[in-house]
Amino acid sequence: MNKNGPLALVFHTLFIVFMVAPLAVVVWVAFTPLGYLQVPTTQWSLRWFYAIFENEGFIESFWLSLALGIASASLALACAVPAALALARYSFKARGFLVGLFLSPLVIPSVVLGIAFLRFLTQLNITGTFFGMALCHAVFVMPFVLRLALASITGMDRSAEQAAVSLGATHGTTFRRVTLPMILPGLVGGWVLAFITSFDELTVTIFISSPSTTTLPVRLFNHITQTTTPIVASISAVIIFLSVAAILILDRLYGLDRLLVGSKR
Amino acid sequence: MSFLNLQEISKSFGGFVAVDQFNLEVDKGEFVSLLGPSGCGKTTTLQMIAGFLDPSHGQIMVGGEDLTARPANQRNIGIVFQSYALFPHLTAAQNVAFGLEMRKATQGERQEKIDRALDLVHLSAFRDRYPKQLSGGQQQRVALARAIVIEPTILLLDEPMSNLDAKLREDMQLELRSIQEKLGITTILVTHDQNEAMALSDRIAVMNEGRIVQVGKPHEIYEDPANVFVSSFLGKNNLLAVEVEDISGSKASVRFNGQSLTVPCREGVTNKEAWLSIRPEKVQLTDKGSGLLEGQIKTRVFFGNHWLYQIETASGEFLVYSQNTAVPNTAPRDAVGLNWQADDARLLNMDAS
Ligand SMILES: Nc1ncnc2c1ncn2[C@@H]1O[C@H](COP(=O)(O)OP(=O)(O)OP(=O)(O)O)[C@@H](O)[C@H]1O
Ligand SMILES: [Mg+2]
Repeated sequence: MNKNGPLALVFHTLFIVFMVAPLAVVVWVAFTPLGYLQVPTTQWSLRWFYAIFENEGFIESFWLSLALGIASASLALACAVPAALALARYSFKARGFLVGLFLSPLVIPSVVLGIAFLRFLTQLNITGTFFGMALCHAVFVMPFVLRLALASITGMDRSAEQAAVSLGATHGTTFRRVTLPMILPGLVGGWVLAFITSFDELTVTIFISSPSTTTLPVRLFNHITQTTTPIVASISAVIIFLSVAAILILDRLYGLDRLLVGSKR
Repeated sequence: MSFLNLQEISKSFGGFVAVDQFNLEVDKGEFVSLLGPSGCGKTTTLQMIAGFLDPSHGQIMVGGEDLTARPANQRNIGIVFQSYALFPHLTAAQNVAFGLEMRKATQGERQEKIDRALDLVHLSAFRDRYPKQLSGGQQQRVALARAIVIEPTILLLDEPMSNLDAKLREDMQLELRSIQEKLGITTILVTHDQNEAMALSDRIAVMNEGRIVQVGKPHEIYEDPANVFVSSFLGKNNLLAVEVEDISGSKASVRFNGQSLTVPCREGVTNKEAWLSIRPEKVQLTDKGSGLLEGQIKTRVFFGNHWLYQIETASGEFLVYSQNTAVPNTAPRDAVGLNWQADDARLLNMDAS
């Protein structure tokens, strides 16, 4: 059963401890009754969880980040599917250049991107709007969606489409009834990665957010620079719980392997 | 007038000619195989008939109508792919239903036709399974049902058996042939398996390098191959270099090993040097010193219903199949004579044309 040697076992254990320990500590701290960040040992309290609901700013920011994540992931997906279809199925001169362009947000430093986005939004006069932020985030999360869309389209058996056409389906029907369902797991996986990336993006967003459009990570960051109440821990704990729940649901629905690794069923 | 008529169709990719002036006439209800080695243009030809590739030249006529420019989704042609190409997110019945939905068939008509098609391929019990819950053979039958349920004018099969194991393949071949005969559907099968082509087809078109080399009934081209390529591709073949002395009509007298033999000869054999081709099952082992050729048994393999002998002769290695007669009467390293009826040999040009 156990094929790992003792060294590998130590490595994996340390790896998991380092991954999980900070999260565990944050959740633990969230239950302190005191007014500063401290690991509770004798007394426990939900005080800082209640505090979240009394702080409208955080609630607003949460909804904003949620909406921004959904909007930008969906926008990126809507652009990535046709782009990936073209990139995967046709060979043309600009192909390599386009792939590089779509994936470039991965390699451009976030600070540079942030400044560029700010300049761009100012030019268009949409600074501090939800639309402007969604646009920037869509560009930023594009690589994640495109990579997974490309992988699933390349891996798809094209004769299924030919079969549909031979049975009388138009190109539109073939795409809707055959292609889309067959690449859906990859698309959902890409969307989820994009959503997560957008939801906790800080560096780029600091440049383009305004007092009326402050995302949750930006508000947490601002909060920490001024005070250090355990509300940051309780908010983090809530987000951790929500993420775990979302992952469990996705795993149930599609299987995480299939979504994120792109393995075949 | 034939039903399907491929007139001089060619297809080139860039400068490469994949299919070259392909001519074929297929009658209604006929089962024709395209047989040839890998890369000879079989799939390309099939894709042009289906409408997935446009011919560079030529015309595709079906029932007197020109189909060449018609879109693939309006040709009413059924296709079974090598990979089956089932829709993985639909059940067996839904896969079969797809073509009927595209034809806007009514609910009742749809049900009835799906039932009949699944029944025909013996899959009624599996109608609600998804492709991944079916075995390879079952998936293949769903693919067949999906292709025939739309009552296509032509059924195209691109190496449909190549993913099945030998036993299952034989069963499916018999079943495919009986379904095809029952429905009377004009069928074109692409294969590089000569046994499959011979077992299933009314006629075989042997292809090489984008061209048709020979068309005919299976036993005709097996017994009377047009050239060395066809002869070697359809089963095993012993080739003996001979000197042509004289040709008169369909007979030629040839010389080898200092002896003369009068053998059947096709038109077109002109050279002085030619091959004499003899099928392994047409050769008999005789006593040493009494054959047309003398040799020594190198290996002997038992196949149940027959023996395979490899025999060293002065003119190269010979393959011989001989019927299993319960008692093996020869052993390796025995010296034997090889004999055959002069009429069973064929004279062929040395180059493959
Ligand atoms: N889209 C294409 N572009 C360029 N060359 C192609 C294309 N499709 C096929 N070919 C070439 O045309 C030739 C015939 O291909 P085809 O697929 O018809 O062969 P086949 O007889 O079906 O072989 P196999 O038995 O291996 O399936 C091959 O040499 C192939 O490389
Ligand atoms: Mg092929």
